This record gives sequence, structure tokens and C-alpha cells, in this order.
Amino acid sequence: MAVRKKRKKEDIFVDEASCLNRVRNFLSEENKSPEETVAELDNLTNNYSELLDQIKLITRISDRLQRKLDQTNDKLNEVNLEIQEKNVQLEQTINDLAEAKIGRRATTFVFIFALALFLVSEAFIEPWIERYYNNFFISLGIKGVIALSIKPIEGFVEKTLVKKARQRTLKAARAKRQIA
Amino acid sequence: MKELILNGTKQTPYVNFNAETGKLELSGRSIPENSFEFYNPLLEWITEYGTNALAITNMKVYLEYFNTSSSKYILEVLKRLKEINELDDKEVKVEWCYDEDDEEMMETGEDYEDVTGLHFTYTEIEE
Repeated sequence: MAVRKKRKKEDIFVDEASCLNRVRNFLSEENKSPEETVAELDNLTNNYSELLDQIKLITRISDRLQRKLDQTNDKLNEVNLEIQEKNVQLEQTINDLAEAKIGRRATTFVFIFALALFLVSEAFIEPWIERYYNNFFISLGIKGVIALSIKPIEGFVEKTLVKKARQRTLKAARAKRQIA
Repeated sequence: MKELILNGTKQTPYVNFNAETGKLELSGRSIPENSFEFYNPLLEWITEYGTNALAITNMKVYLEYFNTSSSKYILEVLKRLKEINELDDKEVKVEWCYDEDDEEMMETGEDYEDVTGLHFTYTEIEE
């Protein structure tokens, strides 16, 4: 458990407090002469006047600093919002780029797959149909099915690759969080 | 008299008080945990310097930010310098520096000038 260190109190009005104590002591004394009272009052008035000047100045400065801090805070908030927006945009761009990259990879994969199917069809299926059925339409139908299945296969491959990429990203983010 | 040099930190300003040249400098940020502990040696130094001050003393203040308690002690520093200024054949010049976009700091200098009655010159520092 963290132990909170108690902050040392500081009194910046030591002189003013000692002046007040002196006057209080004076007031508690008996047999005060009028001259002494006037001198003490004069001293108190001077100190009070000085204190008033100080307070006026410090208040003005503090208000100004507060205003400055508020303005800085507002600016920081604006910049923060802007950064958040840029972050969203950046994330979107990264996603788009990743999807485009994956799309290209899926197309390549499907192209190779289609080529393989075409070769298999030409080398094995076509001779088999000619041998047993000798029907042009069956051959054409099989080729049509192969051609029509290319697009859904591409979509499926793309979806699978995107899913894998997201899982990889999430895993990396989790690992980063654990290290932090 | 020994010069007083304090390196600036994130919370305390840089201090360079040199009795031989009569050049005093206070710059940076002033938000010490205990303003009395920080400023008291400065006030004592100025009091001692006042006993044998040069004809002209130049005080340069270039503060970026300071807290309320520091503002009281800065006033104390300037008041001690005013006491020197009131001595025969002694003059204290205060150069109040501020960043070009920090009008508030310039106005703060004007407030100090009004209260202390010392002569201030204002220098805008380009960032």
C-alpha cells in the first residue's frame, strides 16, 4: 500500500502573522499610554496597507495565471480532440490499406487456385467426361461451375485473411499492454 | 561577496546573483514546494549585497510561470532591491523579459513596477 507523504505546510505570511501577534499582545497589556497606542496603531496601519497592496497584486497575478492556465487547457483539449480525430482517420486508412493488401493476396491465391482447377479440369475431368459421357454440355457446365465459384472463393479467402490479420493485431496489442 | 548560483529545475528557477558585476538573474519556472525555503537565501543575499551594492544593479527577470506564493516572494525580492535603489548613488534597473505571445507576463511586470516603484524595461523574447 502506498503511503501518502504529508506535505509540509508553508506559511508565506510569517511577518504579517508576527505583526498581528505583537498587536494582540499589546492589546492584552494594561496601562497603555495614548502615545504607545497611537504608535502601535500607526505601525498596524502601515502593515495593513502593505498587506492590502500585496493581496491586490497577488490576486491580480493569480487571476491572470488562472486565465492563462484555462486558455492553455482549452488549447490542449482542442489539440487532443484533433489528435483523436486524426487517430481514427489513421486507423481507418491502416485498415483500408491492410484490406487492400489482403484483397490482392486473395486475388493471387484465387488466381493460382483457378489455374490449378483449370489444369485439373483439362488433364483429368475433361478426358473422363469424354470417355464416359462424351457430352459437350456437361463439360461446359463443369467449366462454368469452376468459373462461377471463383468470385465466392475469393470473398471467402479475403474474409478469412482479414479475420486472421485482425486476430494478429489484437494479439500484438494485448502483448504490448502486458509489457506496459 | 560570494555569488549565488542555483541551477534551474522543473519547479525552481535559475538564479545567478553576482555581486562583482551587479548582475542578478532569475529565470525559468517558479513553483517550488516550499517558496520560503527557496526564496529566503535570495532575500538574505540581497540584504547583504545592499550593504555594499554597486552603483548600478541590473536585475533580469525572465519567468515562464510562477505560483501564487512565488509571486509574493518575487515582490519581496523587488522590495529589497527598491531599498537599495533608495540609497544614495545607487540605482537598480529591472529588465522584465517575457515570451512574445505572453502578454499576461508583461502585464504582471507592469503590476510589479506599479507596486515597487522601480524602473522596469520590458524585453519581448522571440521564441
